[in-house]
Amino acid sequence: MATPDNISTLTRIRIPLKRGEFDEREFHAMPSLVRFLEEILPGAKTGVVEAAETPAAQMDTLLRKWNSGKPMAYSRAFSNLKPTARGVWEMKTADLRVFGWLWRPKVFIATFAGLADDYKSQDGNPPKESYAEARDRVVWTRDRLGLDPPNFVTGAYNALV
Amino acid sequence: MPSFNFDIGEKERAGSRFLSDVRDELQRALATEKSRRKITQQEIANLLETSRAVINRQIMGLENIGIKRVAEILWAIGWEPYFEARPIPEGENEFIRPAATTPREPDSDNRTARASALDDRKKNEKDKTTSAADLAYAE
Repeated sequence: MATPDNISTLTRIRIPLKRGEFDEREFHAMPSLVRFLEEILPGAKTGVVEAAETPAAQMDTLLRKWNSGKPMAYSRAFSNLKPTARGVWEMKTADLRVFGWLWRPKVFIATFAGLADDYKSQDGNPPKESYAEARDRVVWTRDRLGLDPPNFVTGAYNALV
Repeated sequence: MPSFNFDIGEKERAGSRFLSDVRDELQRALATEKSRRKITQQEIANLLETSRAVINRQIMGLENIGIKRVAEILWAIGWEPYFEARPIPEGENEFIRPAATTPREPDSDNRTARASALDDRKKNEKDKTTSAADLAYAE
């Protein structure tokens, strides 16, 4: 049996929660995302949107919402990429983009994360990576990870999240 | 099961989570009023004599929002803020401040928090044997 809890490639991401808050959803990460959290995020600055909070604080807010089961505003915080049948999801904040999939309802497997500016066209230049490329990276990784089938779930937002 | 504890530090967490809670509550109030009587950001901006873009950025968290503006936005939609402070129950504060009579070195809070974060990080270090193929692509 290969589940996110017993596959060595994945790391469960936890966050300190306040009293009265409990782990209601699971967030698992591929190694590249763990490195992003450890090495890139601490020094990351807000991008063109000039957000009030640092990217690290934004990630804390995002993880707290996900892990503690708080409402995730569809499209603003969590949305599926087209075509939706491929089951690739994006978590986002003002400065961050996290790509992955739902292995089971409320179980998110995060493949990688990047800064929002890298996914936007700026000064007439194309983004460093397109959403289509990001989606394909997630699918490529998912197909090779070896989790128990089905590889991912799709369905109504409220049932999945 | 390997796990990683993402921790931005207690002080930073306290500030940003409070801000996030305030914004969530503001957004909830706005969504409620929007579905009830179709109020728009433009109407709120008109009442507050500012632009819709400013209101939008403040609500979405792209611009710092002060407590005065929170109250003003709520006023504009017929709501009011409710705020209550309370002491953290004993034992639930991760970083216990030294007694006020104990001399403290400047910036000792930050250094203690950093040392604590470093310890957490060491705890999180683990041998990750990952399929080279998985990572080669994911990188």
